[in-house]
Amino acid sequence: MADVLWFMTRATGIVAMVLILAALADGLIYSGREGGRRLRPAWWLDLHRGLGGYALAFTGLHLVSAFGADIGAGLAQIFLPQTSPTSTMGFTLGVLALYGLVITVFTSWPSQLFKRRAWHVLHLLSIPTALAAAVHAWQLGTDAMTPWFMGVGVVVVAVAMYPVGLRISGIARRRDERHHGGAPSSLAPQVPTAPPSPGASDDAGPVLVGARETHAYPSSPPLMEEASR
Amino acid sequence: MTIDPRDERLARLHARTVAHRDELAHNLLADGAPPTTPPRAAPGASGPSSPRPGRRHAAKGSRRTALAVSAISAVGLTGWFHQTAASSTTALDTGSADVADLAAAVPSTTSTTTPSTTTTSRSSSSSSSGTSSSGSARSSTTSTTTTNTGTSVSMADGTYTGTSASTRYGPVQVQITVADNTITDVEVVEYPTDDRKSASINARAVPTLVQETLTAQSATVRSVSGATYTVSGYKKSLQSAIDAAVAAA
Repeated sequence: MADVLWFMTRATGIVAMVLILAALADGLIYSGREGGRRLRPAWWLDLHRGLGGYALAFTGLHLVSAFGADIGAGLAQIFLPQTSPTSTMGFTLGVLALYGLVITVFTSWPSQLFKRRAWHVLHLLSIPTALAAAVHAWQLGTDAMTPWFMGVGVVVVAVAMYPVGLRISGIARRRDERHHGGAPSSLAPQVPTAPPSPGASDDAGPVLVGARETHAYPSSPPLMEEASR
Repeated sequence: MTIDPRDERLARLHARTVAHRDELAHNLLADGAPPTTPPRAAPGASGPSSPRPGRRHAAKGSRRTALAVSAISAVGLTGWFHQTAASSTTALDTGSADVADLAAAVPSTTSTTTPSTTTTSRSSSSSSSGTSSSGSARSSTTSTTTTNTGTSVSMADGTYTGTSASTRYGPVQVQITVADNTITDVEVVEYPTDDRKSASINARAVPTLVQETLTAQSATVRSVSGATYTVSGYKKSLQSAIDAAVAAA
């Protein structure tokens, strides 16, 4: 029985790790502005919430099976950092990742209890949580050095890092535009800009084809127009 | 015309809220229900919020798919790990049995080491590094009493050192002490010590293997999860030491 629990510990840990990174990638894609026009934002948000909840559930299974598998992970090692006699840093990062995940998920459900700024700060814990979980998996994971795990890890991390790269390039582009008065940066992706129409109002704002800022506020956004078609 | 970043951010939040609300209304209209606008509490307001009537998940199917894939993956990985560990144990046991039968059938007067006094100290890995399969070792619960199960072949008294078995992370070598046709002591004289992570694995794996050897009185020991390579090399070296003891008899 202990053997089965040990195998389940490894399996649920791998699945939880993938779900955490998938939820992170979904959230970054959903909240970013550099990914282009996005259809059905409610779908992205709902999926992001689901992935986060499932990640928490599988993390709970991972802890329960680790506790029963006799690998030296008692209640103290699971819930208190720096208490494991061996692989202290690995266990500590796992504990910190657990707390970060719990805070991130449980502060998102009652979204109306927090002000947006406070909620945003708490939700940003998801990024160091994902990093801590990844290092925990690399240090303590039995399968961390196997080729298939490394291949899956590379793919999942690449998917998670793609929106981060978009954000960084978008931030650099917007900073350069503010400094140079709208001149595109060499580091920024070359987004084709539509020339302003002669009859366009000065209040229409910028129109960037392919970027998220395709709407002229305060009118209704194009996503509404997409849904009504 | 330059845009204030704050205005831009507010407009984006407004657009996202409107889109989400319209998506929910669209789903309700698709089902034939009258569109309702649930009351929305102000941010930071105390008290429980009223439940939204007819709340639907926009990604219901995708969420179910993700949950199903995750559950199937977890179950599949568990079964695969179990099968891999079982097959590695079976392969090693089959190999060791064949070698034992061959050693029993061929009499030999050679002895690899001279008889020495029986040592009572048991080998245990120190805090130094040791490399094995990655991951923390899992110590199996085994009995601490040593029983003499009686081997099918006779072994000469003495201390015998098995051949050094190469593993992925380094060599493993085992030394046994035999007295009255019984393995009285097992010492792992060499094991990989290149990785600090292996220290935690071998700290549990080596004592477990030693204890199981003393219990089983053969090379048929259960695999220790998380230390597959160390166990594999241990079994090979142990079997060669037993073969030497049998040959000496």
